[in-house]
Amino acid sequence: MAYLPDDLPLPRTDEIDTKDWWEKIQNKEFVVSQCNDCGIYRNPPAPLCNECLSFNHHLEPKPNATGKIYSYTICHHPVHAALRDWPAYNVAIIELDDVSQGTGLGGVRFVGNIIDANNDELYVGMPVKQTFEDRGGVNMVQWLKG
Amino acid sequence: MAESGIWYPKDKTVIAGIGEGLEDGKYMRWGRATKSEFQLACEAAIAACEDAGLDPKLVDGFCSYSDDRNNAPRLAAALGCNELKVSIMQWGGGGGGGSGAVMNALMAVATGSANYVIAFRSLCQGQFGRFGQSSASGRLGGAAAFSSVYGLMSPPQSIGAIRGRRHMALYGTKSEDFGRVAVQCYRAANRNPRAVMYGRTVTLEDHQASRMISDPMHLYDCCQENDGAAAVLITTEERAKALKQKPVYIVSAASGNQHVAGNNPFQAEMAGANFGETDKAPGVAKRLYAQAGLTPDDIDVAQMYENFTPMVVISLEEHGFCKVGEGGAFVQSGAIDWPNGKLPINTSGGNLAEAYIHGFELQVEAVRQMRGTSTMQVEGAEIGLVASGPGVQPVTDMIVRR
Repeated sequence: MAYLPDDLPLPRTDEIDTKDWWEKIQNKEFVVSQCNDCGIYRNPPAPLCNECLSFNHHLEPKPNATGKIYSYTICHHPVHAALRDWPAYNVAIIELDDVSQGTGLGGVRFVGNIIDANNDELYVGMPVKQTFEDRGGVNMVQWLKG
Repeated sequence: MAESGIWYPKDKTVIAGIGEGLEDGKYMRWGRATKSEFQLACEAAIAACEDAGLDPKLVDGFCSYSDDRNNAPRLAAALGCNELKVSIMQWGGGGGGGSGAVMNALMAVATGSANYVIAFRSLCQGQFGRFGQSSASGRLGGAAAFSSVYGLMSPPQSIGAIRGRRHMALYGTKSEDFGRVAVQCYRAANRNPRAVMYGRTVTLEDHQASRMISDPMHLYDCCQENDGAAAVLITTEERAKALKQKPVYIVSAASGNQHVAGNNPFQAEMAGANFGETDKAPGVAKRLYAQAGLTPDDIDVAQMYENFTPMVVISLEEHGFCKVGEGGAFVQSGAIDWPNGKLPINTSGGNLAEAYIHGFELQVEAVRQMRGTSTMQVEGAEIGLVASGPGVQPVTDMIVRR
């Protein structure tokens, strides 16, 4: 059973700008979109680099990626019908270590759930590590306590 | 500030009339309106014209924001306007666009592209869906494929909680600081018979005891969901001479977005509200003051859009009323309270306690303060600020004066 309910809406994995990334994720390969010309990263994947404006990019493998919680919340009020009887859950913004999103702009960020944490364990700055989780047949990027 | 050939129409445009879409003299809880969102838009526009002493058929422009459903040609047809000239939607930023709608209207009249422009918002969450609930279904694409699918689906989570938590972690701000904003808004609503929360007291203890929506956002940290409409009539100083009210001058209005690293709003500085300076640009607040030739010390009263209370604390910092990180201490000092604070805020109750007309009721209250007709009047108020947004992309704000 996944961290969130199976009937919570799932992502589209077929869109032009992101389908290659999703294919890697379904294969359990964690990758981050990187500019071929200046080397900075972005998430979600984007057609161009907003630092050098290059349209050349690739998906750089980042196995064993780690990061830190940039911010988080514990959601109590059900915001979707699928969450009506679900216990309070966490959602975090995770900033990756050593994966720069631009000069002086820190690491690339991901939204995700820390799926093995109790809600009262989370704090800004907490180390986390990347994992995968299947929900409703879609493999998703997720996070574990670091 | 002005380059060759560029002239900012400071003090050349005015708000000449204000109007609201109410029932029985009050804004309404979501779902309680018996009139359509469209009818309330028409009523607010006509009321603004009547307040100004202008025949509504002379209105030749409409400006709004957040993809308002009551589009300009439809309103122009409904009011029987002789013609429609400008039809301007502030692009992006949801409820953060209220002052942007005023800005776009002032640009239209200052250039002669229109004579009399209604800037407005009509929002009946009871008729079209509540912002606090996601009705997403099927597979989600775009940015939602990287956020909503993780249960991050509503503004109390993504704006109030995520940004509030970051500010607390960086600067030691506390939930009680956010609560002080709610207390001032409810006090103001209790003097305002139009307010949905008129007659409801909320103390700091009530705020702290209220149920948790998305930690750290309690119920009373969040704006309401309402039915209602609000409108202002904008024209030039010259044209206003023939109208009924003493005009309220628009000194300055600005819109903008900080540099963002990527194509995802979660790449932005999240302990911020998007008004502040970065190493790439001065930012919206600095531009607003520079255009006005004013400083934060000149502001007598401020309407600070509260999607969520922490955003008010952050917005106060970014508008220079206190240093970044010291917003908690600022609100704890009583600075935002009435009548003794040096900067009373949200004097009709705001989004939290008057009504959430996507913040446009704040533009109307700003005008009332300048006219001296507010239910929580700041004595001698001459210059007022409205900060729309905050924390969305883009944000907007404006300064008005008597």
